[in-house]
Parts: sequence; structure tokens; C-alpha cells
Amino acid sequence: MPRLSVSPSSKPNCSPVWLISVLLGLLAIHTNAKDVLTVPQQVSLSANMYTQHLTISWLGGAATTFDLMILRTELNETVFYETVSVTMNQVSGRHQWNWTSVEPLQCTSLSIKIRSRDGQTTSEWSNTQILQGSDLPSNEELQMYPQDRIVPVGANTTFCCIVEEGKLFGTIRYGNTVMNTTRLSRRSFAATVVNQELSGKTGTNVVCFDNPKTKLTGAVVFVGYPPLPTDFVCETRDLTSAVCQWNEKRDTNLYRKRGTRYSLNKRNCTFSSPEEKQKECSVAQWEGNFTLVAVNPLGQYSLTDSAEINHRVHPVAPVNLTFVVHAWNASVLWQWEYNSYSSLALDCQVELASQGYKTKRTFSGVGLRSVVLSDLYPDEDYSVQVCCGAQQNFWKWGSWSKSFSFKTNNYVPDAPDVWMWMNKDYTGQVIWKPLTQRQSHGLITGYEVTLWSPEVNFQHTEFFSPDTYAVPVNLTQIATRSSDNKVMATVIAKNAAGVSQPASVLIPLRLTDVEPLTVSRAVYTDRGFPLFWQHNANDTCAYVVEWYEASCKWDCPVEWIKLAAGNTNVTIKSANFQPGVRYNISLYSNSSEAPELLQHWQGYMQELVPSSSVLLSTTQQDSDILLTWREIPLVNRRGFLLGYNIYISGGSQLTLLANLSDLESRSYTVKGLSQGLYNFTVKAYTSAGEDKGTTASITLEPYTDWLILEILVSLGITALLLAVVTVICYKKRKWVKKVFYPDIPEPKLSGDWSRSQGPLDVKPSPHSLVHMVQKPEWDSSKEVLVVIPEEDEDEEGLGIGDEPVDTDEPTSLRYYNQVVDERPIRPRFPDSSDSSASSLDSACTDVTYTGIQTSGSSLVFQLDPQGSSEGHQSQADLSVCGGGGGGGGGGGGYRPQMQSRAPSDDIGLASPEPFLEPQAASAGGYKPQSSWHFDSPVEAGESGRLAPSLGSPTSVASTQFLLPDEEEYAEEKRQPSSSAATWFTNLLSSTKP
Amino acid sequence: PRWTRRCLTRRRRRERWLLPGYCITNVLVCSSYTKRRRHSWRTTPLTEDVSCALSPDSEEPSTERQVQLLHSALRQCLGLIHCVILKEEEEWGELEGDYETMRKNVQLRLEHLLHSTKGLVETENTTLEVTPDHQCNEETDGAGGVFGLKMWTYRVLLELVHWADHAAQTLHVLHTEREEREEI
Repeated sequence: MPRLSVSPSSKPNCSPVWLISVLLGLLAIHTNAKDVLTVPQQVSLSANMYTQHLTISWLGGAATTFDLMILRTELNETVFYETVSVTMNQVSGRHQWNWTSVEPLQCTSLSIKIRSRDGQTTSEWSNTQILQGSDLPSNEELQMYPQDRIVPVGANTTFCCIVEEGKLFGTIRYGNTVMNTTRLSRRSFAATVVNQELSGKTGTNVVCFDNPKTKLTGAVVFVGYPPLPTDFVCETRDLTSAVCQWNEKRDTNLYRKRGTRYSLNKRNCTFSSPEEKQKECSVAQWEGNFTLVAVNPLGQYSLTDSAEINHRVHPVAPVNLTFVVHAWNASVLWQWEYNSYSSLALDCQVELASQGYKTKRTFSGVGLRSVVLSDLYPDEDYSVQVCCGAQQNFWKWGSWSKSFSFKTNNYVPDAPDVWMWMNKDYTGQVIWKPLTQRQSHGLITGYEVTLWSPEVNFQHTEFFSPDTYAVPVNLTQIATRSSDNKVMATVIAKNAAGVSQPASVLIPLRLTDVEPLTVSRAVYTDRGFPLFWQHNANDTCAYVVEWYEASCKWDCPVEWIKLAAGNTNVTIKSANFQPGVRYNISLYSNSSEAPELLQHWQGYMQELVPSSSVLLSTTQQDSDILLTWREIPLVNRRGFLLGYNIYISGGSQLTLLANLSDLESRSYTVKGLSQGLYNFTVKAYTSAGEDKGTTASITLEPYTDWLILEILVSLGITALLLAVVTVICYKKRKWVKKVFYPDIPEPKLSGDWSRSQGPLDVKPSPHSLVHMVQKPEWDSSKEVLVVIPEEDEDEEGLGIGDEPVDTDEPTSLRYYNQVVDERPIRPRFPDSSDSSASSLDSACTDVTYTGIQTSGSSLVFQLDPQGSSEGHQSQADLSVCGGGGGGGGGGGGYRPQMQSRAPSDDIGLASPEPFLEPQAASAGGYKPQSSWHFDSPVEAGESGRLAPSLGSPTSVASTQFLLPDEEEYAEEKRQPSSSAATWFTNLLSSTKP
Repeated sequence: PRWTRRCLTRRRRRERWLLPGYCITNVLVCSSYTKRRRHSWRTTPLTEDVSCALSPDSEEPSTERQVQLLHSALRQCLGLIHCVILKEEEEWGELEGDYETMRKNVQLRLEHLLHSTKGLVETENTTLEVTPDHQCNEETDGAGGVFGLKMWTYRVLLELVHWADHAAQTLHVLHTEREEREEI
């Protein structure tokens, strides 16, 4: 220690030296003082393992600045080295400083040493103090720190794992995440988790494994929030104590022993159900000011509330509700749990529930304990709840009481709503609406219905069961006896409490005489059918609007509504309205007189397309097609018909032909169609659209009348042409004759024509073939000429029929004076078979005129009258049998040319007498054309018209050309037109082979 | 009592029975913990090894006797399950999800198994109890923290799985032996 040394001296001339010595001495003392800073003594450590706080205290003398150094003991790593200012605690005389370790203090041993500092001057380091960790060799076990740490969300936490002595460190997992680790000591390893998220309810596991994984240890960390209560408010229920309530705004994620603890005015709160968010805590006396403190391991939160008690009255629920019940009202009585309520002015509300509806009624009074509920309905169930609030300084409505129920008493029923339905005759129904529960006032036991007509002194009463709502009536007898036009029907309902007022309706007896009014249309809206009518100022009557399905005609289920006088509109609604159904709606006056029909509507709730289609039929009219159909039944229309659409279908496509908006017109004519098959579809439509339609098919056929007309015209033209040709031919007959039938030269006979036995061979000129057949009656003794063809003699019977008669082969005719065929000669009929057979019939004389130019060789046969008669008779029938037919017909077989009595070369034209005998003429004997001479040149000309036909190569079968006689001629003269036709017919037939 | 290697060997030697009808290892809780069984670091059994009471030189007990011993072990398991439930409710209160339901199912099935084994082997001379045989005063593992409670719970369930398997095998043998006896 520097010491101040002072030495006495008497010499005054030594004073400057003394002064310098003093100054040097003071400087030396000051310098020496700095060199001796106090070294911190008695360093002690106090560790809080949970908070990881280390408290270091020491004796530091007068120094206020110290250097602190904290090292991890094993690895001698510096954890903390700073210069801190620490003031000395005046009481203990020690210096103290707190340090918070990032790692748990158990992780490894820490060495702490301190030195004093004064500027740049420092003392020596104190002795090192060691805070021993849990990784000492003496503690061999596997360990993990910290245990059960509770941290707020977002915090960082460092965990350390101390491996077992002699084992290797493996990994540290935070949940399922492998953490990065740092080595703190030989056995200790640390990992830091940053920005931690909320853990699960059971915390997050932090697990440490050794290497290899033979063992594990771990810790659990809980990550949550500090408490945050809200809505803290206190009130009183019993007018003495306080009940405070609040909510937990967020879940702290900490439960049970780590959960939030609450205290109200420093009194701990306990909860029956700590999991609930809504908290409630009570204090026995109202203190006016209330403080709530919420604390959990992560922090605390405080809320306060202040109020006077009479401003915070929350009444309790009334208890023990009782009732005094009547038909139309009831009294409700209850009790209060606390006597203090008897002096409390209360407002109480009664909630009345009935038939699903709730109403509230409010009552007031001091200590209110009963109320009267009026305007109730008889025989109805009610349930009641009551709650009250303070009338003064109202805070809130109290708790609702339990719900109690009661049923009001019965009462007489209301009068039923009565109406009637009358059919076209005097039958009908008296109808009334079922009484609702609120109208019946109790169980209906029955109805009493009375029909009454004062004029005829008629009254009839019947009783009906409670489920009767319509009674049939028959007023036929009354109607006949009464001149009045109405009958009154009265209905009375009954229940256990009595009978209702009578409800009456006047039934008109002359309904059938009412003329139908104009029918308007009622349009349905969302709310029903809105109806409007004119109000007559003079009318004071009420109204009845009734409606029913228009398709109903007898005892219809009618609905109605009664309206007071003065109404001019109403909207009728019914749950029974159905779409697609037409309703008749009628407005009646409802007065003391019988109901009078005032207005009539029809309407649909919703129009639909018709459910059925028209019945369609098609007919052909000339070249047109007429479509007709029937009306759709009313039930099936399902809407107001707006018209009909007529379609023609081509394949699958319909083409609209016409749209008929006139509903009365149910036919349509399709014109201008050609022949063929047509399909027509008719669809009726309403505002909802068309129905499915009916399709009818028809095949348009050619018009028959026209066909007939065409045929007739064609025939007429043909006949006209023929007539013209005929006239022309007649006019030009000479020319025709000259062209087609030139005159045949007269045959010239030479030699001896005396008779001789034996066959007479006649060599006819070419193209002459004559078969002469003698009649059976012919006398064989007489000489007969038989014409025998020169050739083909053997084939006479066979070939002639087969061979064409008209042949150009020159044929020799042999005339034998003998019978060839004795079979009777039959008449021939103009059918083809006979015609062909005749050619095979030897009895049929075939005459081929083609070659008979030499027939005028004057071969004359004497015919018997009989045979000529037959031949003449059958002549008219012979038209087809060719020449053979003609010759072999009634005319008998072939007859040789008539022998002239005076044969001469100029026979014929010069002969003044008729050439033929009438008999012979009638017999049709063969005559050469040259022998046909008439007196009159005209007649000769007339008869000569046949001559050319003899030369025709095709007219070989016709007898017409062979035997014209006078009778025929005379007849032709009488009937020239007929003759012309016959001639024409013969001309046609002569063309046949 | 301590679990010795000799006892473990003896117990494994007897695990040769199977009775599918009594297997409770299908409980999800047990299954999930079983997967992590290899990480267990404790070897001390929670249940008293009843077989250790037998003399090492004695004959292998009869099947009926084995079932009686099994019943005793299952009773201890039931006590431990009760203890687990108490501790977990104390620590966390009501737990989330299906955990509580499965835990309850384990307890009920274990009680049912106890009643079944009692009915099989109880005689006039032997009275078997079905109440939990545990005081729930055992400390949990580790440092007594929450992690120690979880590990202890896991070990309880492992014990339960073990004795459940054992019960399945032993009861199957008992069933087989009795059938053979009836046939004879």
C-alpha cells in the first residue's frame, strides 16, 4: 500500500524540493491504487432448471464493471463472454447477475468466471465455478431435456440429448422431423426447434435415439397460447349474489394441470365442465366491482366489470306453473324461487303455443305470480312458458320456465257453412263444410238437417252422423204442391256442450228455368281465380261463389265461399284445383230469397294439351279429300281449344296444311291432290300446345264419273266416225265396188248339159271350193250332184276343219249325187267352239267364196219347202259359223245355185221377173251375183251392194252375201238404220276367216 | 419380481397355442404400438410373471393350471388398463378422435376374456376373480414426465398384447385337449 511518508526538516531553503516530493508521492499513490482492482470473490451460482435462468453472485468490492465468461466445461467452448455493469447490493454487499441459457442447464456442465474491470484495467479472473450438467460420467443414463416444456406458439426451443455412457448418439426427432444437432459435450447433443406450431392435445414428442437404435428417450413439449377471456359481465339472479360470465375467445391448447386458471376478485373459480367455452363464476355478495384474472403457464389476462345490483337483475325462471282453465280463457299461476322477488316490479311475457303457432303476451306487476290468458279457443291444446324481467332498469329477460300444457273446455259449435246443389230435376244435395276444430269447439256428435216449406206446411228433420257433410234431397213432391219457388234447408251441429246456431240455405225450385248466362273466362294466378263483378248499388245482398268441375253433371262435389254484401271481387282458392280440369264458377246472390245466378265463369287452373285427339275420318269427294272429325270430349280437352291444325304427313315429317281457329268448323277439304296415298293428321290445340293428333290415311283414286264420261265420249266419237265412213262408203259405193269388187264376167256354158250318171267333175275356176251337202231328207233316188275336190279327197273330213277355209289353193269341187252325211243339220251358234267344230262338221257346208267366180254355172237344186223354211228360220242365228254356218245352218247344207228356168247368157240384168222364187230365196240357196237383178235400178243398186263381197277373200262364211231376199230387202227398207247397223255388223263378222 | 432370462425362455416355450376366437390383438391401439415395440428400452415387465413362481425343476403345469395363471396375468393387465385410463384422463382430460372408444373396447374385451377363462377353469377348490388387480400406484417410466407416461402406457399395452396372445394359444390347447378327452 502506498504509503504517504512525511520527514521533519528546519532548513527553509529545502522547500521546493519538498513540494516536488509531495507531488510525486501523490502521483505514486494514485498509480498504485489502480493496479490493485479487486478480484471477484465468493462466486456462487443458482440455477432455475425450468426457466433455464442462472443467477451468479459474487463479492466484487467497489468495482461496478465485470467481465463474465461462461464456458461449456468439457469442450471449453465459450457460451457467454461479455462485460456487464453490475451494482452492488447494499444489503448483502454482493454483486448479482442473471443469465438465461438457450440450452437447458442440464445439458452439460458450465464453467463461470468473473473479473473486475475498470476501463482497460481488469483484475484477475475469479475462481471458476462449475454448474454441473447431467452428462457427468456418474450419470450414465440416456436423458433428454427439457421435459414437459410449455411454450407459446412461434417460440424457439432447444432440446438436448445425453446419450448413455459408452454409446453413440443417433438422432433427435421433433415429431416426425429429424433435427440438426450440435454437440455440447462428449455425451450431450442439442437441437433447436424454431417457430413452433400448435401441438396436439397430448403435446409434441421429441425423441432421441442412440446409434444404433437400441434405446430411446424423449420429452414432450406443449405449444399453446396465453389465456384470452372476453365478454366478462356480472349479474344477479337472487338479488344478493353475483354471477359473472365470460367466454374463452381462443383455445389455449393447454388442458388440465396446464390449463387456464381463473380467479374472480381473487377467489378461485371452479368449473363443473372445464371444456366449455362459456365460463361462469359466482361470488356470494354483490361487490359492485369485479376483476377476472386468467392465468396459464404462458401468461395471464385480466378483465373488470362494475355495476349496481339493481341494474343487473336477471330473473330466474318461474316454477310450479298451474292453470285454471275455461272455454275461452285460462289463468296461469306460478311461484318464484326467491322471496326477494315479491317486492320486485316485473314485466312477464307468456308464450302461448297452439297448433304450431306461438304468440307472446306481456303482463306487468310487482312480484307477478299469475296472469289471465283470454281469447283462447275452446277445446284446444295450449302450451305456456313464462319469463320475466325487471320492470325498472331492465337488464335482460330472465330464464324461461318449463313448458306446461293445458286444454280449454268445450263450447257449443259454430253454425255450419251450408250450401246446396240442385240437379236439372228437383233432386239435389244440401251440403255443408266440415267444422274445423276451432269451429266445432269440441267433438261433433252429429248434425240435424231440416227441410221446411212454410207454404205447404212441410217440415222434415233428420239426424246425421258427424262425418256427414252432404244430404240428398228430393223436392219433387214439394215442387208439385207448392207455388213458391224455394224450400229452406237448416243444418244444426251438435257436440257435448250443446247445439250450434241453425244455418240455413234457400233451395230454389225453379233452377231449371234459369237461362244460362254468358260465360266468362277466369284466369288462374298464383293465388287462385281472381273474379270481379259489377256491384249494384241497390243490392244489399251477400254473395256466394261456387265452383265445381265443368264435366260434372249430377250431384257434383261443389265448393263455395260466402261473401258479404258490397264485395265486388274475390280470389277463390282450393287445394282441390287440378291442372287440366275445367271449372264452372258461379256467382249467386245470397239473400232472403232463393239464390240467383248473377255471373258465370269458366277457367282452368292450368291448361294442358288435350289428353285425347279428335276422331278423324276422310272421304274422297271428286278429286278432293274431305277431312271431318268429331269434337273432343270436354274432360279430355284439358284447356280451352283454340283451333285445329291440319297436317299432311310425308314420311316422318308433318307439313301444316291449315290452321282452323273456328272451333265450330270440324271439316276441311284438301284440294289439288293427285292420285296416291295420303296421311292426314288433325291436332287440336290449347294454349298449352297441340295434342298428339289423329292420323287418317286415304288413297285418292281416279274419278269414276270422269272415266265413264271419257268412255262414252270415245264411243260416241267412234260411232260418229263409223257413221261418216258409212255415209262416205254409201255415197261412193260404186267406186268402192269398182275398186274392191269389180264385175265378174258371166260364165259361159259350152257343150252338152244333159244329165248323165256318174260323178260330175267340175273344174272350178281357181280359188273356188264348194262343198255341197245334201240334206238327209234328200231322196237318194234322185240325182244328186256332189262336189268333190279334185285333190285331197281323202282328207275331206279332217282337213277342212283344220285348214284355213280361206285358202288360195285351187280346189276342185266334185259334186256327187248322193248323200254324204245323213245327220240332221243343227243350228250353229256364234261361239268360237262351234265355229271351230263346224269346220270339222261335214254337215256344215263350208263355202269358200274366194274362188267362186264360176259359181254361176247354173247348178240348180230343188229345195223342199220344209228345209227352206228351217233354213230361213235359222238364218238369223248364223252369224259366226262362217260361210259353213250360213250354208249348213237352217239353210241346210249347201244348196246349189238355183237353176234358172230359162238359162241364158243375158240372164240377170235383162230378166223382167224376179230371178228367185220367194221360197228359194228364203231358203238361201246359192245364187250367183250375176243373177241378182232388180227392177229398180236403185234397188238393184241396193242389192248389188252385196255383190262385191262375194269377191272378198275374207268373206267366205257370211250368208248375208249369199242369200239376200226380198223380205230382207223389204225390212231393210223399213228400217234403214237398223239395216245399216246389221250391214255394218255383218261387215265386221265377214272379216273373220 | 424381476423378469429373468430364464423366465422369458420358459414363457416363450409355452407359447405354442393358438385360439383365434379370443385374439384381442386386433385392437388398433395394440397393433399400432406393437409396430414400435422394437424401440422399447425397458425390459422390466409390468405384470408379475406368474410362471416364475414355478420351480425350475418342476414339471410343466397342466393346461388348466396354465389357464389359471393366465387368468391372473390378465387380471393384472386389466388393472393396468384401468390405471392407464385414470392417468391419461388426469393428464389430458377428454381425448380426441376414436382413441377413447378403442381404449374402452380393449377394457371391455379384456373383462370378457377374464370371465371366459374363469368359466373354463374355475373349480370348487379354485375361485377366480375378475376385478382389476392393480392399485395404480406405480410410477411411470423415465423422469416422470409426460413422455414417461406415454412410454408406460405403451408398455402396458405391450404386456396386454403378450398375454392376449398367450391366452389365445393356451385356450386353444385347452379346447383341443378337452375334445380329445371327450372323444375317448
